[in-house]
Amino acid sequence: MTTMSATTPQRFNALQGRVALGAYGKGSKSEREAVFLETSAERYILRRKTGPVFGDTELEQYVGHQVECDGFVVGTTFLAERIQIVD
Amino acid sequence: MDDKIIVTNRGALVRKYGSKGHAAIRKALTALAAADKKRGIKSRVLYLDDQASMKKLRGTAVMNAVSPRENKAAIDAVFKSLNPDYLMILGAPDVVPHQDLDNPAYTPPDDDDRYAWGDLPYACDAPYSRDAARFVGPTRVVGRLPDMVGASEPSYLLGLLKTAAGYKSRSPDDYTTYFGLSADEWKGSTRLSLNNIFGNVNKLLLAPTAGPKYPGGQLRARMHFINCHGGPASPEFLGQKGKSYPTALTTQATTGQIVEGTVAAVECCYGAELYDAITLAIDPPICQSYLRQGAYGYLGSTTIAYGPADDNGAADLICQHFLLNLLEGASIGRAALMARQQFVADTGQMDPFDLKTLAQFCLLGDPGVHPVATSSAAGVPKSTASGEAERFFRAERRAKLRFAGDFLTQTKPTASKRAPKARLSPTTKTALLNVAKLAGLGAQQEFTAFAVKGAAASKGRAAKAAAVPSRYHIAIGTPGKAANGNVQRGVAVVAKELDGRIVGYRIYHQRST
Repeated sequence: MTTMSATTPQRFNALQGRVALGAYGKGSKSEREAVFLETSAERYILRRKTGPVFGDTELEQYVGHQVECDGFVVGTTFLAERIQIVD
Repeated sequence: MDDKIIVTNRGALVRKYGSKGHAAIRKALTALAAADKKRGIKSRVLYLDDQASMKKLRGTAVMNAVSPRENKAAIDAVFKSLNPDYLMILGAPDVVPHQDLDNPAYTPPDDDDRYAWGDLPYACDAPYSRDAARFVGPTRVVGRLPDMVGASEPSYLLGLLKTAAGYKSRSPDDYTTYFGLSADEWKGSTRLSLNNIFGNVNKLLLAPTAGPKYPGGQLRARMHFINCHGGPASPEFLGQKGKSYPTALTTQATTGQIVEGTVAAVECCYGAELYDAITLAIDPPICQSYLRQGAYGYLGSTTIAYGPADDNGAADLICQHFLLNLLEGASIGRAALMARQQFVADTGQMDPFDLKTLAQFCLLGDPGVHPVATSSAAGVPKSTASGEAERFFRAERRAKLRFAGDFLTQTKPTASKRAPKARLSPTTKTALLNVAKLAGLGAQQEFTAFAVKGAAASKGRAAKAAAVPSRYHIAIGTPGKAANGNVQRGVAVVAKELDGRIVGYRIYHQRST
């Protein structure tokens, strides 16, 4: 169903997934190497809610790890309020 | 006869702000109508969810406030009955939604915008559709004065209505200086844009090293052109040099710096996204910070935007046209409509990236505001009221715009739909391989074909060669090797096929220094 926009935030608590690096937005003004949160159902771009859009070095510590997050899904982005390594 | 119709949704406003908050908005709208009247503009508020009002227009009231289809049908009924010179959408997308056009360049994970959200269809006569190709001939002057998504008190919207009521046109001299900000990587393109608009690049700032604060007062210029990175639900734009993405501008850095009457054209991805900052408990969008401080107009994108390297195209062009039209004295609404038309007219055929650009750029602000005062060559007899004369001239301008929009609708070839898989001729395969090589892509690079609609068929033996391609092929990929150790950058390639031969191509990518 279409909502008012893709960016209507949806809250998730204790969402689990693996953190990985990957290319994003090839050829566009958003192109970069991004950090992804890969859950069993979806693949989201992972951002700290109050962190920068690109190049957040704080996220590097989670790459390759299974994590648990609280935060919001906005479109295809997960805006994390809490990230905890669980593996 | 009403010159300006303000459409909104009473139920949605009452749900957000309560009866008292809605009454305050109503009072502010009355003040805006009074101010418009003094300028010779007859304004009227119309609630799209009001059954009696919509019945009088032979339309159907909106039952589901966030339904793009219902809102499009209701606004079409407004135009059919009243044909206003200006249509102002009052409210963010949780009051009156953006339209949900399919993103023709949707290729997850590289372009993961399923929809190219925007207000373009409201500016077009064609009925509701998700196909952007149906909206290449806009004819209506439309802008949106947004409140805050998810807000529960109306002070933000009341402030914007006060700005619209109290606006004043200024001398062109007040708009000759500018704030120009670009990611360092894109300075070649931004220089071209600024030269085209202002005739110089004296005020161009590059990030890095510029930003996020501008203590020298650079933000106080009234014309802003910004070509940086942006992201969804983010109160910041970023610069770029190599792998470094420093913050170039933030909502906080704009606070107290934007002066009344500012007009901005912003190419950044998501630069005009009206995200829900209240639920997310983050700073509001930069675009809404501009408007809060008295900016008259802001043109930006709701989603991922595109532009070619070392040149101008797509987002660059629509932003340039908008500011140039304003400098010539157009209202911000007419400047945006003309920018859309000029972008389509100057584009031979609307490929999937062109269509996304057209769909995603939105005008925020009261469309009736004229920031730049210009003198007219046409004299008006003393016996004629100036308001009546202006209404006549405006009607002439609208007639021309309608003609131009209708012409584009009837003639502009578009490529928004994927073509069925078909065997490619060896010649076409080889040509695509060569284009892929030129873009730095590998021999295995997959292309997706898009059928071109609206191409005029060549008639008879005497007909000259067809000028319109039969298909477009697009590919998005990352070059295998980065030259000189630079960052590897992906490219989006568009190749035109005419009668089984590749006759042209364009390569979009991040600008390199």
